[in-house]
Amino acid sequence: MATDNFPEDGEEFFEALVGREQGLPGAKALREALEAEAKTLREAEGASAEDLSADERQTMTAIRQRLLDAGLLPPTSPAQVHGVTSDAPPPSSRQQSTSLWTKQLSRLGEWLFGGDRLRPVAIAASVVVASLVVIIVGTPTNQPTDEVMRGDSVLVITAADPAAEVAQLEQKLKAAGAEVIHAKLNDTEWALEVNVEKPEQLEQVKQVLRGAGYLIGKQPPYELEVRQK
Amino acid sequence: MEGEEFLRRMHAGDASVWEALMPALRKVALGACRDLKVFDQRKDDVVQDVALKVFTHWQSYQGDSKLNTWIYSIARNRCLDDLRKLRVRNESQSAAPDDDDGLTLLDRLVDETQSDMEHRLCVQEVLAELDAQPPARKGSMRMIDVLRWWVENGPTTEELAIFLKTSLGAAKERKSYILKHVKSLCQKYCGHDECAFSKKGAAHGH
Repeated sequence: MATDNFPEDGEEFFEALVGREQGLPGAKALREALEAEAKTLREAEGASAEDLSADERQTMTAIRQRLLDAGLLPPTSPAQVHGVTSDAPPPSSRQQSTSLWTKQLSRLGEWLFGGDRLRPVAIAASVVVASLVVIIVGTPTNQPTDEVMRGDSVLVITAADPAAEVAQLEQKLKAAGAEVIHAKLNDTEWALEVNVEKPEQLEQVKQVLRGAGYLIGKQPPYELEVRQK
Repeated sequence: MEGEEFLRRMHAGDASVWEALMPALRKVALGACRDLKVFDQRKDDVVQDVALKVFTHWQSYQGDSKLNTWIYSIARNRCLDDLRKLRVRNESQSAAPDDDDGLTLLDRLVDETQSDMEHRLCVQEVLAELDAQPPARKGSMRMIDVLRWWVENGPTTEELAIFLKTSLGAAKERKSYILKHVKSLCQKYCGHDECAFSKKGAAHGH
């Protein structure tokens, strides 16, 4: 049975969802969110690299380079690798094994989406890959500050019991003088924001973070994550 | 780029896939930021993280939805992470206000009020969970796709029945079932009965 706060059946709700009924602000909010999504997707269909400004192009080039450095993008064209053109039909899994790139990705895929036995290893490996990208992003370069991608403070560790790990870490960090805010993102992921007001306490806080497995190379605040193993 | 072409190029190790995908990927990620009202200063982070996720998880893309729709779901989840952090930050600040007169990083994540953010978060959490549902059985359709089609076309129930290739009664039942599911998700994510989708909840500032 419906509650007093909700329409009795789907009719009123669905009518409100397309604006033919009034008085259900929630349905309106849902409609607006879906319309916004549809608008974004329509706009994306016509997106072209020519629409990007020089700065935007540079930002995207920097992201591409980081993906390449992390081995996440194919390094060369298929014609150069094994004569496959983009017009070719999708290769079978056996054909895929002819490409080193695809071999590596297939292996990663097997880890990620394959047997349960290897999944923890795969998750750890993906975290390492993600962390590597983050570390690369955090490496000082000759680029002007505006071109350096933010996000370099998001670091990840894994723990069998993220909640316990977060509680323990928070206690240690606070003891070291840090301000800590934690957020449960979902059942397996927690986020921490760590700030250090007094410069003289920074090294002690960094030591705690290093002890927990984080690699910190910049100034606070730090945005960190703990994920379930 | 269509999903099939994306998968073909990735399987082939085609280096040009980035150039082909990048404009749309960027547009979708930035569009999601706009839709979820993630503040300007976080947009480049979102674009970068979405690109990372697309190229680390491309093998999980099955081609059963449009490529840009899949990318949007990644971007939505990324923006939701920011909003969740902001919510916790705001709750923490309201519980123990500090003396900082400067804005912190999380303060700048979004540019509207806490209650608006709560509402936005609730709606997007519901959509994200609907979007995370597995592909529908053969001949059926996921709830989120029914909702998208309904909002886009504004049909009648009779037209929905034709679209779903089912009877009028079954289409009505489907609508009722979707409403029930949306309601349960809303209650789950809002954390109380007077959720954002209720008449009363809206009157309470959602």
